[in-house]
Amino acid sequence: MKRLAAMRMLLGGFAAVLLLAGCGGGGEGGTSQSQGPAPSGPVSVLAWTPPTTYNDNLPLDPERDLDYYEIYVRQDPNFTDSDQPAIQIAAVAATVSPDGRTLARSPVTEFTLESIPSLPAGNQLFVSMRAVGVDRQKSAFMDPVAWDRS
Amino acid sequence: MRGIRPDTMIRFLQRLLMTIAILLASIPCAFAETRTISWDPVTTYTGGTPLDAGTINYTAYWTTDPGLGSLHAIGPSLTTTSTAFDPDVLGMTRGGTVYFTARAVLSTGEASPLSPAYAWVVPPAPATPVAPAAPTGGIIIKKK
Repeated sequence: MKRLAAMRMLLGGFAAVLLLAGCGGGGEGGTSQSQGPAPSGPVSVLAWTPPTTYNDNLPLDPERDLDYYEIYVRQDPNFTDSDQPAIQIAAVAATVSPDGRTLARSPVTEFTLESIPSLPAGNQLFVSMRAVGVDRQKSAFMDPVAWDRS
Repeated sequence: MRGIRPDTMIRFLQRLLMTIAILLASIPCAFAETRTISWDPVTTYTGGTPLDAGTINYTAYWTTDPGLGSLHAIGPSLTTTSTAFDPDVLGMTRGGTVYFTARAVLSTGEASPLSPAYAWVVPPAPATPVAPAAPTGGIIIKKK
């Protein structure tokens, strides 16, 4: 029994390490979600639907084919290719099963905007994002979303 | 150019085409679609008499005809021993077989017969990466 318990603890620790590793943003050494300030009080969560196709309409598996997302924030909705992402976040997260024995990979579909380290001034901002594939090809911008910070 | 015989040039060009074959098979593309053909210089006549390098030019050709009809020159006549080409620029069909040949031409205008054909399958075009579609359904939710 002691050996079994020890084995479970070891596996649990391993899973936790993998989970933390999964929280890091992918590619290009960008800022990851875990590095942002810890929000307190109400937070604004950006949610989205991952792409399931490439631009040529061939199917895309978000868990397999996406590497990370770039989130952009502006004071206006006119996002351009010359904009720099405010943050990068991994496209896939690893979560531990309820029994702590297995890791499940799932597409990331939301992000707490207050975790972004540096935001433009103003209470009315606009948020967009791009999906970046494992081959570093970037999608177009998602339709901008107004973010009322007041 | 004294003493040159047609069979002299044929023999040397057979060796030249063998070199082309090896290089086409082993040299990776330095650029996306640039291939290089190189060959050893022809330096002597059959009898071993040295050949002045300044008196000889090479012309490489390609064709889809295994019988070496309808030849297309790969660039102009060269005094150098290599030339680069782009299969698409030359109009080679991807996945198709083309045949290379070459001929040596002396400054006197004497030309050797064509060397034996060397077959080469034009590799498929490299796949162009396609970007993912953009995420959709963006919404901001206030959570406590």
